[in-house]
Amino acid sequence: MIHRVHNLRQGTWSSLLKTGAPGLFTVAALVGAIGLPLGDLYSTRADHAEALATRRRTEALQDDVVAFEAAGGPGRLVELERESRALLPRDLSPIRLNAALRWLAATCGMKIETLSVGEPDTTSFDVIDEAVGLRRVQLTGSCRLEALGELIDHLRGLGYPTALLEFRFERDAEVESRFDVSATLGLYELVPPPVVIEELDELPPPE
Amino acid sequence: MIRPLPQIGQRGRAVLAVSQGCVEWLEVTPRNQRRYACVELESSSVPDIARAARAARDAAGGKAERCRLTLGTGFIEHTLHSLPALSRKELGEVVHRRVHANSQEEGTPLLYAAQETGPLPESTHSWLALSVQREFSTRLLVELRRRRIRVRAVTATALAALSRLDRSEAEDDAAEIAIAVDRDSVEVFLVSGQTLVSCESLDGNFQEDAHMAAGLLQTLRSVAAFWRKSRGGAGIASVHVLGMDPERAAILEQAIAGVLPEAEVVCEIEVEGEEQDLPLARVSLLEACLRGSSLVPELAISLPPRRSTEILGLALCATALLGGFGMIRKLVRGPQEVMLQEITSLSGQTAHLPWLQELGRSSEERLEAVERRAARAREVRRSGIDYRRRMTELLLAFRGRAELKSVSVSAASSGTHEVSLEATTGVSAVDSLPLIEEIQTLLADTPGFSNVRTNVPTRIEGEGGGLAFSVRVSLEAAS
Repeated sequence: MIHRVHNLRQGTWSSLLKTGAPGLFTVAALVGAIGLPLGDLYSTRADHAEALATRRRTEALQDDVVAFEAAGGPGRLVELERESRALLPRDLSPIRLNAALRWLAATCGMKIETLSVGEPDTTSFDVIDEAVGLRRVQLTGSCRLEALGELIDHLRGLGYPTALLEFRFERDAEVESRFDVSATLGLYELVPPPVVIEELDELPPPE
Repeated sequence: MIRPLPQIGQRGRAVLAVSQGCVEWLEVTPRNQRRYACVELESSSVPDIARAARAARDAAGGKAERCRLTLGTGFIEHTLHSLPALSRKELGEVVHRRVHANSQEEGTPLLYAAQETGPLPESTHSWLALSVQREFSTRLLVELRRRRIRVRAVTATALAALSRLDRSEAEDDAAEIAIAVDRDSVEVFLVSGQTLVSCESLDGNFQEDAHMAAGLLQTLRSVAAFWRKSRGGAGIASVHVLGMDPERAAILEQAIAGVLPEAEVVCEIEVEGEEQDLPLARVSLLEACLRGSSLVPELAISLPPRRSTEILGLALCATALLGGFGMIRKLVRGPQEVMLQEITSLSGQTAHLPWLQELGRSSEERLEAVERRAARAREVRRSGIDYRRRMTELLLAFRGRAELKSVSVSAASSGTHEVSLEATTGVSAVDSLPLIEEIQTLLADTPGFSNVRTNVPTRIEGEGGGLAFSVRVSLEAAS
């Protein structure tokens, strides 16, 4: 085997680089010259696709608006809102409630001995603009068994959402068809939403 | 002994020799005819050398475009080094250092190639190095290329004699001496087997300087003495003389025979026929350069591309650049403009999209609130005890079986109301028990009621008068 040592290739790479510099520049410039317009074209295509999608969304929304108008439009929506807000009463007056209850009880043949109307308590019902409060009505007296149901129906008929929370009947010793009654009714009404007071996690250090 | 010039094959057909005063061209045709010319140099500048080279080729009637360039004294240097066994990297550093140290042009960048030329005693190796000035050689080759002379490899004329040694037939210990008589120097090589042992150089023109012959003989004596001393009396087997005129070669042969009586002296210069007009000494020397030798390193110098190639490349690059750019622009512009117009049109058509989105969003929110309010109202109405239904179920369970004395339903706790009932049967205690069981069964079978428990007194006094008992039932709360 013949061993050789030489420096004939020293500088070959730099020479090649120098020679190939125009070629490299051309390749880079070609990539730029081709890439930039192509990039613009792809960008325009993306914008075009986005514009088409926007038009489809607009058309779909316009169809929805037409259907909405056909169903009554904003006027119908306002009406629905008003009706939905009126599904529950608000600002019940205890005095008027008391009077109404006594009158209705009499109508049902119920003899009332005591009647108390409380302040509204909070409930767990959904809060939508306003909360739902429960006003407890406690009454005692005497009546037939059917009278309590009639009283509740009359209250509901007058627009008071009423729930029977608890009751007790004791048969009257003298008149067999009558019972001593004590019952707790719940009348629902809209009240302002409860104010949430955020508690501080940490009190500031004393100065 | 005078040996005829050997035949030359197809390979290595032309050689260009540059010496201090002249440039020579030797070309051997495929029919083995030799075409030779020598042109005097006006100066040693690169353009003059290149011009003379082209003139020499034209004068010789040469047609070869590729040749081997062989340089004489002053243009190329060769040195013999004894180096220990080293790694390739260390070897490169040592050779680089030694070549530059031996260079007469200190600090000038050199191109060099060194080749191992056999083992020496004491684990050393003989290395023959060849070096030229980088700038000179590159410029010369570029100039020659401009004149359509392409150089395959560069070597030294003085090393031509080594190609004459038939080393494959040499005995291991037999020593041979090769003498190359160039225009400006005489080289004496001692070769033993596969090893170039020594290299001696005598500067001067052998043809003109009468003292050169005496110097050469003295050198031969020294080389032979050195060999005898280093190899325990071994002699010189043969002496090859190259580059000597036939007349003087015969005289020199006798003189060498006197100095080295045991050696066979060979002068390879005899030719036949019309080629006897050629300067046989130079032709034989240059033909030896054509053949090359495994002992002689060559410089294969790579050149930068031609200016025309560079310009052509640049032109191609520019054309590709402009063409590519123009083509792409043309291809892209049309579709892009169409799309841009459509985008503008679509943007106009969808300008009210935000308003529509806001309208849809607010309407959806308001409708959702309406639905939630309605659902809440339904939930509110379902809350509490369903009085009519539950009282009807209770009364039906007791009807005809017992008289209800009291009924109470507690407020809902943990999802259930607690219902307490007290009643009295109208029959005897014994007959009452089945009726109470019936009541219990009926209540237990009623949906919403569960956990029915009856409480019947354990002590019954008298036969008649009915039986008072109580019932407790759990009632599932509505909400």
